[in-house]
Amino acid sequence: MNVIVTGAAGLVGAEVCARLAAAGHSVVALTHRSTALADHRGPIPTTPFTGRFAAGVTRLAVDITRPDLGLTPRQVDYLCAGRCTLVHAAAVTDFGREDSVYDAVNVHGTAHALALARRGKMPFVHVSTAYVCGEGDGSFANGYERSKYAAERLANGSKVDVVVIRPSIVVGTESTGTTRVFRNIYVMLRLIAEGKVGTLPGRYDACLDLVAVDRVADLVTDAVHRFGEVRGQTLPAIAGRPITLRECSDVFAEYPSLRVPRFVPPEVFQPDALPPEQRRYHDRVVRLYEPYFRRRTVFDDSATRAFHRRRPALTGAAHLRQLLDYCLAIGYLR
Amino acid sequence: MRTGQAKPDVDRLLTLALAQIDVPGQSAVVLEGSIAEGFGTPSSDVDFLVLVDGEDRPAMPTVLFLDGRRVEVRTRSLRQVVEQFDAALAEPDEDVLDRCQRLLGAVPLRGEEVLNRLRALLPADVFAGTVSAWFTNRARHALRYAQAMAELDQFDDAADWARFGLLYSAKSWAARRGETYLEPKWLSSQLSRIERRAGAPQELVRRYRAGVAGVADCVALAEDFGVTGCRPAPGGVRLRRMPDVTTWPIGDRLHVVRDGVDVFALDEHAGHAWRSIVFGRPPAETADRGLLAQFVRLGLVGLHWPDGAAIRPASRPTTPSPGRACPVLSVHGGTVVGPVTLVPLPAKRFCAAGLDLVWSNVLAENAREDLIGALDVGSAEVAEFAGRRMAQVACRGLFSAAGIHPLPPDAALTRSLAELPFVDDGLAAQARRAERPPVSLEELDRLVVMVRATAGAAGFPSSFGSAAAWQRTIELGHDWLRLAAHLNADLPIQDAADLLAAQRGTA
Repeated sequence: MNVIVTGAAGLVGAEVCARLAAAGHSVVALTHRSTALADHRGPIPTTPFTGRFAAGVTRLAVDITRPDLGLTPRQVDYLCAGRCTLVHAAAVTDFGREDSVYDAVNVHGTAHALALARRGKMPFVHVSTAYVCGEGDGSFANGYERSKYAAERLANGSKVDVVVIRPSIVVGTESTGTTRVFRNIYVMLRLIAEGKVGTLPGRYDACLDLVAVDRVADLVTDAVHRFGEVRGQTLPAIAGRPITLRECSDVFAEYPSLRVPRFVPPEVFQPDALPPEQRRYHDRVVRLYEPYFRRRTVFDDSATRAFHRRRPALTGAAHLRQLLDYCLAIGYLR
Repeated sequence: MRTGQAKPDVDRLLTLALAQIDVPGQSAVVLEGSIAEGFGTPSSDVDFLVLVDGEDRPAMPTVLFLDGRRVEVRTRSLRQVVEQFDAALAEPDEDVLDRCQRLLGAVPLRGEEVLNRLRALLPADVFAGTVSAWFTNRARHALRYAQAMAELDQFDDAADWARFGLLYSAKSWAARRGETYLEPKWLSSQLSRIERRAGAPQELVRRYRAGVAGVADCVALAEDFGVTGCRPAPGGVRLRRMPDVTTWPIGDRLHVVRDGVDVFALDEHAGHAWRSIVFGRPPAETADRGLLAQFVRLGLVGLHWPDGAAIRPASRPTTPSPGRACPVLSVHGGTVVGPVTLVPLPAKRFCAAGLDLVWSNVLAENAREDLIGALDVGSAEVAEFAGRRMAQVACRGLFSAAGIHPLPPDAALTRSLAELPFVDDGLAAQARRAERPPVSLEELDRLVVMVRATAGAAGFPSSFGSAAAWQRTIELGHDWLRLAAHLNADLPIQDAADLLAAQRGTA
């Protein structure tokens, strides 16, 4: 099988490439700038894509914000002739970016990937996010959620055969907590653990669904292999057992060196009362994550369970401990 | 009996014993323990074990004094013995191994075929291997713990544990040579017996008897006894998480809760040492090693060898004498009387009293607001009520600071103040004066100031004066609430429970 993976250098994309290559498929890894791919175990061997689908991983530089992903017509022809499946994992997942960036990469990038898939009659596995649910009232917490929602609508409204995978908050591997990318939730973990933010707006019954990257990659890979069984479906890739902020607080308290956060109900939280340094962190970072500290969203993954038997073995507090242990072991946390 | 020393008249003692206790007629009886082993002295107990082919028997022995000797008679069913043998092989612990060894080394007195049948279930060489492995494991933990104590500059502790480790190593070596008696005090006799059997002095025995000092030499000799893996490893020992140990700041003071029951309040220096602990890493260079060792002894932090194996010495965590400070707590947590103070209250009561203390201050502010309003509109009855309430709720704080929870009725508070050892006559008189009409805001404010100074709540914000003051009030109470939620302790008001919502299990 030939498989094209966008966002192949990303957290999920690289894991998917490694799995597909290990299964004997020819993988064309589309990356923006990176010439090196690595999953949680280390570098993934690659060779440049020269127009032929070869075993293992070949890489091809693209610009997803441009029509045809910035590829030459000849390159597009090669890809479209390959009877490929396309895994679209490219996205800007950072918070706090300009809307134009989200639109260019997450929305228009998806449109361009769909156009390629349509032309090549490629089954399309779209990596979305569980947080396209937004605030539950049609609004969104940030530009990331809004753009992913728009991208998902494009995918579902296209004439391409689509499976949507919706990961929740993607973190390190289930067995060891290993991750090579410390973004998003990890940034908050560090700020909290080091006491740079002590008081945050939030509710102790808010839920965070942390899903291990290997579980997400397993599901994406399974969807590629068994596309026909789930064509047109949306499959949440979640832990299934979210962790409440109260549980987070209790787990943090198990580590002498880590600070335990104070979550103050948003309606009484007053950023002006914060010490100046904490106020700066609040304005620059915490503000972006605040919706996740008050939401009590619980996702339904019955569709996933019906399709993909493998369930996360480590969830909730035990999983958070695993992540913290890893962060401490490699020195990300002190 | 293997030797003839200190022989009591066992048959006579058994006859006398059986005359006093109820034993089924067909039961087998054996002599076990130190006399059966041949180690006994004239003052040794005589231990009989009755083996009953029937219902299980209680573990408690019958103790008799016969012919000037203490005689203990235990009774076991054959099923219980078989169960012990199984446990010895599957999950050996000291008690099970001791019971098995005593039976395997017993001298039959009645029904020898029963003893032989049981012994066949656990061959001597298999049991010797099990005992040796058990001692090796214990020795390794002791020697590694000795290394850890040395790394924490606790040299006396290190020497003690190194000696234990060496002793266990020698016991392991002896067990491999058939000397499985567990009690360490007869090691010397066991070693002598090994030499007798070998027909020549043993070099290891000579070195052991010559005495070894220092951790390194103990480790070296232990290696020759077969206990390896205890030499200092690169990077040294690491710190390990202990279950059910959590850290909770209240204001600037750290509190470490052990097993959800014991609260240790740390002073600033101990707090720094505690914060330096990172699991999986060696103790920080700059950390106070004495304090880290204290944390280890208290079972607040564990140790592991660089290979990841936990170090578990054969001793339980210690518990210090409870702190004697009075009041025992303030709004800022437990009162410290040294680097590490065991709060003299169970964790839940400590937390509930702390919350009561914070809440009493909030209520005093609330009553003051009511009083001012009543005075403004000239409502004397309302003012009198509010003034009395302000005095009473303020005084609640004194009882809470003493660790009293639940609180006595409000009406009884001011007349009960003398029961609190840290409340002087002046404060008690001020409370009674402020409580009674005519209402005086000045007297009440003075009372509140005095109470707060005594109860460690000086500078408590005027909770209802502004949004910022309310925020400060929330933050002050928040640390207590968070701990209360963790402990599932009593909360003074439902509003507090709402503040922490999921902490009451609503998630």
